[in-house]
Parts: sequence; structure tokens; C-alpha cells
Amino acid sequence: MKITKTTPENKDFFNEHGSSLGAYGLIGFIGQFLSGASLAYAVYALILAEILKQGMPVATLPLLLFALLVALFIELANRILARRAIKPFVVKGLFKEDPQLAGRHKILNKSYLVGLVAIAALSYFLSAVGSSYYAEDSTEIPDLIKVDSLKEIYADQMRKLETGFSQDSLTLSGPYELRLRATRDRFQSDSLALRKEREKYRTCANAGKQWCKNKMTEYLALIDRARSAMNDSLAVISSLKGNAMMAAVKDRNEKTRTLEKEKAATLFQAEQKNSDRLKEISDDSSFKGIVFIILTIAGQTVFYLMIYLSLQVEAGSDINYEIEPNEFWNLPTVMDEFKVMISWRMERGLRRLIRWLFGEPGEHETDIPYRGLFENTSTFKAASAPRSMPKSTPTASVTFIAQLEHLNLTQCKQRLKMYKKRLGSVTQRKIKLEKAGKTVPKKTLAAIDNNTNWVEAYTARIQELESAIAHKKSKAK
Amino acid sequence: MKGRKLFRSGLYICLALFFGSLAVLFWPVVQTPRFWLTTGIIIGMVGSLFFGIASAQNSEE
Repeated sequence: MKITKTTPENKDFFNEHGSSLGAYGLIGFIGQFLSGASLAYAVYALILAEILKQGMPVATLPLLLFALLVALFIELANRILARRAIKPFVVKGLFKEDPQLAGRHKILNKSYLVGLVAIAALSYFLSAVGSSYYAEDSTEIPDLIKVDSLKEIYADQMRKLETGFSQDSLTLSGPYELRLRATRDRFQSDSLALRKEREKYRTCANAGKQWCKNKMTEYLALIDRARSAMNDSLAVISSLKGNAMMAAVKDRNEKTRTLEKEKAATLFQAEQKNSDRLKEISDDSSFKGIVFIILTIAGQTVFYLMIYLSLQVEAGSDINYEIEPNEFWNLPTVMDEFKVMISWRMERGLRRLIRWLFGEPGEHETDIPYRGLFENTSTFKAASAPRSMPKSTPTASVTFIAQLEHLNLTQCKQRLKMYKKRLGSVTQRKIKLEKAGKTVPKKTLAAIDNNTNWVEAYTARIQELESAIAHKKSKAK
Repeated sequence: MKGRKLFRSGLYICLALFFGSLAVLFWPVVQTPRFWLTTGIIIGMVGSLFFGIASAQNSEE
């Protein structure tokens, strides 16, 4: 299908405004590209975030291609629908002479408008999201103070303080412990000596001498006095030790308090600084995001404006579009032809396989088991009757045979040329094989036969068409 | 006439459902100032274009 523009009917108007038509197209394209790029980024970032959340491996290229495909889909729909939906605002009263056509035209225009509003909303929304994401991603991550490291440093200092205190208290208590042990040892040795001295009087006291008994009692009193002295010394030393330890604890507590205060102040300052930096970055990113949003939204809006301007210039200059369908317009699509050909070839092959497996049907047998069903219908014979072809029907699909009658003279001549070429090629192959003394395969012979039939069919058709044209011309004269 | 009214009512109900569901889905986003700022920019820009063109066309006629 070929779309051509007619020459401008209104030359003066076209001379005034037509020079900008190309520029409008370019500006509109750039605006749409901005919007599309931002949209693709939004799709990319959203899918990437989801993939990372699921812990799946990230393949950047396919992801990027998918995002671009989504952007292409939306922007292509936008481009097609925008022109169609805006045109009714520029050119009014089309098909008004035919109410039925005008009604259909109106329905289509409204549908275009609804489609455009939906697609435009989607495009605007995704472009805005993409702009925000891009602004966030393009903003550098600030160099923040590591609060956890600071906490760790203070915890380490606290541990060191505790260790120092334990060592200091051991050092402090050492001399006191020695003095306590020495006091106890002195008492032990003194009391042992006094006991030994006392034992000397035991025999005499056992003999009933009062003096000796008194002496033993006196020694017991001396031991008790020594114990009292030891207890006094122990109490004094313990008290001194307690005082020393208390001073050490006080010192430790003071240091701990200072460290805690210092830690709290430092952490507060660090958190405050981090918060300030983050706020600064967030404000910066937010501003950038808004700027990008304005840019992409303006891009898309300018695109609509450019379409409107182009349509106005075209309408004013009276430029129209003409659509010329090509010779394949009413034929099945290439894919359909392909599918038909494959299925036909497959069916032919399978039927040959059936013949090969089960042999040709006998004289009184039908070639397919359910043929009787068709034979009773009156249309079957007419439908399956061979077409008006010379000799046998060429081996081609029903679609191709049907085409023959719809083709014009030029197309028939083209086909004839093609089949002649094919016929020449297979005939050459046959001659080559014969010269080489090889047997010509059945396939080649069938191809020659088939192409000959086609050549004859097209030659006949061309003659028919030429004579019809000649007849027409003579009638016109 | 009756059919047209029914279709129009159906359209409005479906649109209301659609926008209501969207609002519920994007409620956290709807609450942010940035959403309203962006919506304002879009509506402002497209509206200016639309009404500008409409005004120009009317003055022409």
C-alpha cells in the first residue's frame, strides 16, 4: 500500500506556512523521543527494582530491549492516534453528504480520541515516573559520616577503660593484699611461738602446780592479744585498701561519664550532619526530578502541538493523502500463503505415504473411505471439476489457480515470464542429466510438466485478455 | 434514547470505578506533594495547549 500526498491546491497558503512542515515534524519527533526515553527508563528502573527485590540475576541488555519495546509500543500508538484524534478538530464536516459514512466517521473519531487520552495519560504518567527515577539515580550518593564506626570506636574505648580499671585495681590491691597476708603470717608465727612456750608448762601444770597453770593461762591471754592486734591491723589495712579502691572506682566512673557524654555529643553531631547532607541531596534530586518532568511533559505536549500545526498547514494548503493499494492488496497475506503451502505440501506428502503404505485402491474401491458421503451431494462434482485449463491442471494450490482469473494483463505477463524462466531452468537440468548419462528424476519431469502447463495456461489467458482489449478498442473506434 | 442513557451511565460508572481503584492503588503516592505538583504541570500544560487552540479556533470563526 502506497500513501502519496497531493500537491497543495492553495499555493499562497502553502508558500506562507508550508516551509515549516518539515521542522514541525522534526520538533515533534524530538519531543516524543524525550518522552519515550523517559518512559523507557521508568520501565527499566521498575523492572530492575523488582528483579533485585526477588534476588534474580540481572541481564541488562534484554531488560533494556524490553523497556525500549514498551516505550516503542506506547509512543507508536501515541503517534498514530494523535494525528487521527486531532484531525477532526482541524478538518470538520467530512462525509457530511452521506449520513451513514458521517456517523461511522464520528464513531471512529471518538474512538481515536478515547484511545489517545488513555495512551497519553499512560505516557505522561510513565514519563514523569521515569524523570523522577532518573533524577534520583543520577544524584551522587553523599559522603556520610559513618555513625556505626563512631559507635564502635566509643565501645572500644569503653572496653579499654574497663580493662585499665581491672588492671589498676589489681595493682592497687596487690600491696594491701601483701600487707594483709604479712599481718596474718606474723600472727601465725607469733601464736605458734607462744603455743610452743605454753606447752613447756603443760607437764608441770598436769602435775597440779598452780604457777604452771597460771603461766599457761597467761600465754593464752598473750595469744588473744596477738589476735586482737592482728585484727586491728587487718581492719586498718582493709580500710586503706577500700579507700584506695573507692578512689579508683570514682576515677573510672568519672572517665566513663566523660566518655559517654563525648560519645553522645559526637554521635548527635554526626547524625545531624548526615541528616543535613541527605536533606540537601534530596532537595537537589527533587528539583532535578521536577525539571526533568517539565522537560519530558513539555516534549510530549509540544509533539501534540506540532501535529496540530502540521494538520492546520495541510488543511489550509489543501493537501490530501491518497492511498494506492498494490497488486497484492486483495490477496491473502504472505503468512497465510506460507501456511497454506506448508499444510498443502504436508497433506500431499502424507497422502503419498498412505498410498505407499496401503497401495493404490482397487477398481471397485473408493480412494478414501468416506467418499460416499460427498458423492450424494450435487455440488461436489461441480466443485471438484477441473478448471478450464489446458491439458491437466498444474500442480499448485487452489489459491494460485483462483488467482489466474483475477489477474490483469500485466500481472499475467509477469507470471508467464516467471514460469518460462522456471521451465527453462528445469529443462536445462534435464538436458544436463541426460548428457551425463544419468536418469532424470521423476521430480524434475513433474516440474517440467507442471511449468509447461502453467506457461500454456498463462499464454491462453494473455491471449484471452489481449483479444478482449482489442475488441474493446475496436468498439470504441 | 434509553439505550444511549444506559451506555453513558455505564461509561461513567466504569470510569469512576477505574479512577477510584487507581486512587486506592496509588494512595501513598497521591498523598505526596510531588504527585500534585506533577499533576498540576501535566494538566496545566495540556490544558493551556487545548484551551489556547480552542480559543484561537473560536476567534477565527
